[in-house]
Amino acid sequence: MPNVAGQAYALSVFTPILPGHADELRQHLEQLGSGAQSPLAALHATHFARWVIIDDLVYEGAPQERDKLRSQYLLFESCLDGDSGAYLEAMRTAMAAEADAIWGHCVGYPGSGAAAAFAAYMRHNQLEASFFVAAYPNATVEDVRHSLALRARIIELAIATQDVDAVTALAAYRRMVGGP
Amino acid sequence: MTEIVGIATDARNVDGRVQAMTVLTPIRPRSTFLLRLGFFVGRHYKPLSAKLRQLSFIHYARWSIVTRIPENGPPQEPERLHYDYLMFTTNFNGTWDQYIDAFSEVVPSRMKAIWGSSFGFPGPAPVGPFKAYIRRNEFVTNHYYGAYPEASTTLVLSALDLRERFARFARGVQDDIEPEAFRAAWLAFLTEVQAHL
Repeated sequence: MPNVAGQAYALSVFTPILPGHADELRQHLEQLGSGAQSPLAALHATHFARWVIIDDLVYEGAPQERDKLRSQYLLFESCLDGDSGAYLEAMRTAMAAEADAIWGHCVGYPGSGAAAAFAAYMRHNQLEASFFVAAYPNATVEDVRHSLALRARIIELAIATQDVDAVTALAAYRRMVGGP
Repeated sequence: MTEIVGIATDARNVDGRVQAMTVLTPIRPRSTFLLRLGFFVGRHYKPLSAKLRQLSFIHYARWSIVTRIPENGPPQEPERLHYDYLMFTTNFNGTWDQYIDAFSEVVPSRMKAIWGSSFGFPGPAPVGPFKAYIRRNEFVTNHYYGAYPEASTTLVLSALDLRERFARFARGVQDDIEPEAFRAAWLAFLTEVQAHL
């Protein structure tokens, strides 16, 4: 499974943009909020994701023959946890309005109303990865966030226990781990 | 002559400390099979991907060989392209220049094996023409999201390892541990993990 590295899945969807819609779509994508305001924040299995509009192909000069796309395309690419089927369903339900506002500019998009049609559309337009590399393939988004938060708490505790007696240090540790 | 369509580092490619890069290049005729074979070997011969993971600023990267553009019926016209295309997408921290420098210096033979099949690839070194090639063939991101955008790859790996070590430490702290024994164990733990802090 070239789309898989550990528990991570590489999803790429390449859809044709309706004639005359690319500029409006571009404007829409570029005004979306970042971080927690991004519609992708609603998909908790997303490590990283992007939308890219491909207007045309690059020509490198002779001896290459020039290729011209007949449509503009929208590339959606995501690195996600686990099962891509569950992820597509989360896209359809957890960011339904945004999915419609984005892929509604694409040819053949059936809308987020019907699970089977939505998934079939995404699968039909999916590009398979050939080689997928992940630095931490077995860590979920939750694992990463939890580890980063824990690291911050350990650093806090290390600082707090620097110049205190052993009883105070143990009490601080107990508070940090939520124990007795 | 070449046309410059992509751009180097655009703010739209960035979320926090993480950057997106999207590159699409035409594969020379009759090269797709060899490229596919190379990726197959790469997937099954672990040292290849291990070497790429040594580039410690890549969170996730992928190459896709695009042999057909999905058809959805009118008003999309079927595409009639001369070539297959190689799509490269990556999520990394650090600067764009450092990224390409590392590709050129650390894994040049792999870069040659991958992009050597594409038209216009000048080779991984010298790095100047390689950078120009990537810039020309790069597409700007219109929306980019990272779930932990302020964390570098190194920091994530460090935090994941620290979590395991801390779990082991915590298992060793008995409910009735004496304060002095705890402090000694805690200091030993901090010494063990100081590189992660």
